[in-house]
Amino acid sequence: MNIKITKPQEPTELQKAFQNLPFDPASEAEYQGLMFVEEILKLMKQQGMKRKELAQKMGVGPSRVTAMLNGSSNFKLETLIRAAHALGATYHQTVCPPQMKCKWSFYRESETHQAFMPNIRSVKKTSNPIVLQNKEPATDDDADAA
Amino acid sequence: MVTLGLNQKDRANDYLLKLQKDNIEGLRSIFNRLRAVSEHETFENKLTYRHVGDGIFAAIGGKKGNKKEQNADIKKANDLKDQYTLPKSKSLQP
Repeated sequence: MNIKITKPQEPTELQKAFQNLPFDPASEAEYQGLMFVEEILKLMKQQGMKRKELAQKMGVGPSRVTAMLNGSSNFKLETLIRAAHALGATYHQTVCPPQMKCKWSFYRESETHQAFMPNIRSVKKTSNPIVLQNKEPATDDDADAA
Repeated sequence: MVTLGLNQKDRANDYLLKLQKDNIEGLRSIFNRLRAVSEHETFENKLTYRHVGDGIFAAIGGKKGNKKEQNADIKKANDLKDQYTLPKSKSLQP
Protein backbone atom coordinates (compact mmCIF):
# COMPACT_ATOMS: atom_id res chain seq x y z
CA MET A 1 0.00 0.00 0.00
CA ASN A 2 1.42 3.38 -0.97
CA ILE A 3 0.67 6.19 1.41
CA LYS A 4 1.03 9.76 0.24
CA ILE A 5 0.69 12.46 2.85
CA THR A 6 -0.10 15.94 1.62
CA LYS A 7 -0.32 18.97 3.85
CA PRO A 8 -2.79 21.60 2.69
CA GLN A 9 -1.44 25.14 2.52
CA GLU A 10 -4.66 26.74 3.70
CA PRO A 11 -7.08 25.59 6.43
CA THR A 12 -9.29 22.84 5.10
CA GLU A 13 -13.06 22.99 5.19
CA LEU A 14 -12.98 20.57 8.11
CA GLN A 15 -10.49 22.64 10.09
CA LYS A 16 -12.67 25.68 9.52
CA ALA A 17 -15.70 23.70 10.67
CA PHE A 18 -13.97 22.90 13.98
CA GLN A 19 -12.60 26.43 14.42
CA ASN A 20 -15.98 28.01 13.79
CA LEU A 21 -18.05 25.85 16.11
CA PRO A 22 -20.19 28.31 18.10
CA PHE A 23 -19.82 28.21 21.87
CA ASP A 24 -22.17 25.79 23.57
CA PRO A 25 -22.20 25.45 27.39
CA ALA A 26 -23.33 21.81 27.33
CA SER A 27 -20.54 20.91 24.95
CA GLU A 28 -17.96 22.78 27.05
CA ALA A 29 -19.23 20.91 30.13
CA GLU A 30 -18.74 17.63 28.27
CA TYR A 31 -15.15 18.59 27.44
CA GLN A 32 -14.39 19.70 31.01
CA GLY A 33 -15.91 16.41 32.22
CA LEU A 34 -13.57 14.42 29.97
CA MET A 35 -10.60 16.37 31.31
CA PHE A 36 -11.68 15.83 34.92
CA VAL A 37 -12.25 12.09 34.42
CA GLU A 38 -8.78 11.78 32.90
CA GLU A 39 -7.20 13.38 35.97
CA ILE A 40 -9.15 11.07 38.27
CA LEU A 41 -8.23 7.97 36.23
CA LYS A 42 -4.55 8.91 36.31
CA LEU A 43 -4.59 9.29 40.08
CA MET A 44 -6.51 6.00 40.42
CA LYS A 45 -3.86 4.27 38.32
CA GLN A 46 -1.00 5.82 40.32
CA GLN A 47 -2.57 4.67 43.58
CA GLY A 48 -3.81 1.30 42.29
CA MET A 49 -7.32 2.23 43.33
CA LYS A 50 -10.26 0.39 41.78
CA ARG A 51 -13.66 1.87 41.06
CA LYS A 52 -15.27 0.00 43.95
CA GLU A 53 -12.81 1.45 46.44
CA LEU A 54 -13.24 4.94 44.99
CA ALA A 55 -17.00 4.59 45.36
CA GLN A 56 -16.61 3.56 49.01
CA LYS A 57 -14.31 6.48 49.75
CA MET A 58 -16.64 8.88 47.96
CA GLY A 59 -19.58 7.49 49.92
CA VAL A 60 -21.56 6.65 46.78
CA GLY A 61 -22.59 3.47 44.98
CA PRO A 62 -20.32 1.90 42.31
CA SER A 63 -22.87 2.74 39.61
CA ARG A 64 -22.47 6.44 40.40
CA VAL A 65 -18.72 6.14 39.91
CA THR A 66 -19.19 4.29 36.62
CA ALA A 67 -21.62 6.98 35.46
CA MET A 68 -19.08 9.62 36.45
CA LEU A 69 -16.19 7.93 34.68
CA ASN A 70 -18.03 7.27 31.43
CA GLY A 71 -19.30 10.82 31.34
CA SER A 72 -22.97 9.85 31.28
CA SER A 73 -23.87 12.12 34.16
CA ASN A 74 -23.59 15.86 34.57
CA PHE A 75 -21.20 16.41 37.47
CA LYS A 76 -22.27 18.23 40.57
CA LEU A 77 -19.56 20.34 42.15
CA GLU A 78 -19.84 18.24 45.30
CA THR A 79 -19.18 15.06 43.28
CA LEU A 80 -15.98 16.54 41.86
CA ILE A 81 -14.81 17.49 45.34
CA ARG A 82 -15.70 14.07 46.75
CA ALA A 83 -13.83 12.28 43.96
CA ALA A 84 -10.69 14.37 44.41
CA HIS A 85 -10.83 14.01 48.20
CA ALA A 86 -11.26 10.22 47.94
CA LEU A 87 -7.91 10.15 46.15
CA GLY A 88 -6.23 12.36 48.76
CA ALA A 89 -6.24 15.23 46.26
CA THR A 90 -7.86 18.64 46.29
CA TYR A 91 -10.24 20.08 43.74
CA HIS A 92 -9.53 23.50 42.26
CA GLN A 93 -11.30 25.60 39.72
CA THR A 94 -10.90 29.04 38.26
CA VAL A 95 -12.48 31.47 35.84
CA CYS A 96 -10.16 32.68 33.15
CA PRO A 97 -10.60 36.40 32.34
CA PRO A 98 -11.27 37.52 28.75
CA GLN A 99 -8.29 37.45 26.35
CA MET A 100 -6.28 35.37 28.85
CA LYS A 101 -5.12 31.77 28.72
CA CYS A 102 -4.98 29.60 31.81
CA LYS A 103 -2.70 26.70 32.70
CA TRP A 104 -2.36 24.84 35.97
CA SER A 105 0.96 23.90 37.50
CA PHE A 106 1.50 21.48 40.36
CA TYR A 107 4.41 21.92 42.74
CA ARG A 108 5.56 20.77 46.17
CA GLU A 109 5.78 23.64 48.59
CA SER A 110 8.69 21.99 50.40
CA GLU A 111 10.73 21.82 47.20
CA THR A 112 10.00 25.25 45.79
CA HIS A 113 11.55 28.55 46.80
CA GLN A 114 8.99 31.18 47.70
CA ALA A 115 10.21 33.45 44.90
CA PHE A 116 9.25 30.83 42.32
CA MET A 117 5.86 29.89 43.69
CA PRO A 118 2.93 30.66 41.41
CA ASN A 119 1.20 33.45 43.25
CA ILE A 120 -0.37 35.54 40.54
CA ARG A 121 -3.58 36.19 42.42
CA SER A 122 -1.80 38.08 45.17
CA VAL A 123 -0.12 40.52 42.75
CA LYS A 124 -1.66 43.93 43.31
CA LYS A 125 -2.04 46.68 40.80
CA THR A 126 0.57 49.35 41.42
CA SER A 127 -0.05 53.03 41.00
CA ASN A 128 2.94 53.19 38.67
CA PRO A 129 2.69 50.19 36.39
CA ILE A 130 5.58 49.44 34.08
CA VAL A 131 4.54 50.10 30.49
CA LEU A 132 6.42 48.32 27.74
CA GLN A 133 6.59 50.24 24.50
CA ASN A 134 7.99 49.41 21.11
CA LYS A 135 10.81 51.89 20.72
CA GLU A 136 13.91 51.99 18.57
CA PRO A 137 16.59 49.60 19.83
CA ALA A 138 19.05 51.18 22.24
CA THR A 139 22.38 52.29 20.76
CA ASP A 140 25.85 52.76 22.27
CA ASP A 141 25.16 56.51 22.34
CA ASP A 142 22.18 55.90 24.61
CA ALA A 143 24.40 53.95 26.96
CA ASP A 144 26.98 56.74 27.02
CA ALA A 145 24.31 59.34 27.70
CA ALA A 146 23.04 57.28 30.62
CA MET B 1 -6.39 17.69 12.79
CA VAL B 2 -6.07 15.62 9.66
CA THR B 3 -8.11 12.74 8.29
CA LEU B 4 -6.80 9.72 6.43
CA GLY B 5 -8.07 9.22 2.91
CA LEU B 6 -7.97 5.93 1.03
CA ASN B 7 -8.31 5.29 -2.70
CA GLN B 8 -9.03 8.93 -3.51
CA LYS B 9 -11.83 8.96 -0.95
CA ASP B 10 -11.70 10.69 2.40
CA ARG B 11 -14.66 9.13 4.16
CA ALA B 12 -13.81 10.55 7.59
CA ASN B 13 -13.58 14.07 6.20
CA ASP B 14 -16.87 13.64 4.31
CA TYR B 15 -18.58 12.20 7.38
CA LEU B 16 -17.47 15.06 9.64
CA LEU B 17 -18.52 17.71 7.12
CA LYS B 18 -21.90 16.00 6.81
CA LEU B 19 -22.21 16.07 10.59
CA GLN B 20 -21.63 19.81 10.51
CA LYS B 21 -24.81 20.17 8.43
CA ASP B 22 -26.95 17.39 9.92
CA ASN B 23 -25.86 17.00 13.53
CA ILE B 24 -23.80 19.83 14.99
CA GLU B 25 -24.04 18.26 18.47
CA GLY B 26 -22.40 15.11 17.13
CA LEU B 27 -19.59 17.15 15.59
CA ARG B 28 -19.12 18.95 18.89
CA SER B 29 -18.87 15.65 20.76
CA ILE B 30 -16.19 14.37 18.39
CA PHE B 31 -14.35 17.69 18.61
CA ASN B 32 -14.41 17.52 22.42
CA ARG B 33 -12.98 14.00 22.41
CA LEU B 34 -10.19 14.93 20.00
CA ARG B 35 -9.45 18.08 21.99
CA ALA B 36 -9.26 16.17 25.28
CA VAL B 37 -6.94 13.53 23.79
CA SER B 38 -4.67 16.14 22.22
CA GLU B 39 -4.08 17.76 25.60
CA HIS B 40 -2.64 14.63 27.21
CA GLU B 41 0.51 12.67 26.42
CA THR B 42 -1.14 9.45 27.52
CA PHE B 43 -4.80 8.78 27.97
CA GLU B 44 -6.33 6.51 30.60
CA ASN B 45 -9.99 6.85 29.73
CA LYS B 46 -10.70 3.37 28.36
CA LEU B 47 -14.44 3.84 28.83
CA THR B 48 -14.74 6.70 26.37
CA TYR B 49 -11.87 5.63 24.12
CA ARG B 50 -11.95 1.90 23.37
CA HIS B 51 -8.98 0.33 21.60
CA VAL B 52 -10.35 -1.54 18.60
CA GLY B 53 -6.99 -2.78 17.36
CA ASP B 54 -4.04 -1.67 15.28
CA GLY B 55 -3.65 1.63 17.09
CA ILE B 56 -7.22 2.65 16.34
CA PHE B 57 -9.52 3.94 19.05
CA ALA B 58 -13.27 4.24 18.92
CA ALA B 59 -14.75 7.16 20.84
CA ILE B 60 -17.76 5.99 22.81
CA GLY B 61 -20.63 8.17 23.91
CA GLY B 62 -22.01 11.42 22.65
CA LYS B 63 -25.55 12.21 21.67
CA LYS B 64 -27.13 9.69 19.34
CA GLY B 65 -30.38 9.12 17.52
CA ASN B 66 -32.57 6.12 18.20
CA LYS B 67 -31.23 2.61 18.77
CA LYS B 68 -31.78 1.55 15.15
CA GLU B 69 -29.83 4.53 13.82
CA GLN B 70 -27.14 3.95 16.40
CA ASN B 71 -26.66 0.29 15.43
CA ALA B 72 -26.59 1.22 11.74
CA ASP B 73 -23.92 3.85 12.46
CA ILE B 74 -21.85 1.39 14.50
CA LYS B 75 -21.98 -1.15 11.65
CA LYS B 76 -21.04 1.53 9.14
CA ALA B 77 -18.13 2.64 11.33
CA ASN B 78 -16.89 -0.94 11.69
CA ASP B 79 -17.06 -1.44 7.92
CA LEU B 80 -15.09 1.76 7.41
CA LYS B 81 -12.53 0.69 10.00
CA ASP B 82 -12.06 -2.62 8.15
CA GLN B 83 -11.56 -0.76 4.88
CA TYR B 84 -8.60 1.00 6.45
CA THR B 85 -7.11 -1.79 8.52
CA LEU B 86 -7.37 -4.77 6.14
CA PRO B 87 -5.13 -3.32 3.38
CA LYS B 88 -2.69 -2.22 6.07
CA SER B 89 -2.50 -5.65 7.71
CA LYS B 90 -2.09 -7.32 4.27
CA SER B 91 0.73 -4.96 3.36
CA LEU B 92 2.54 -5.89 6.58
CA GLN B 93 2.41 -9.64 5.85
CA PRO B 94 5.74 -11.12 4.68
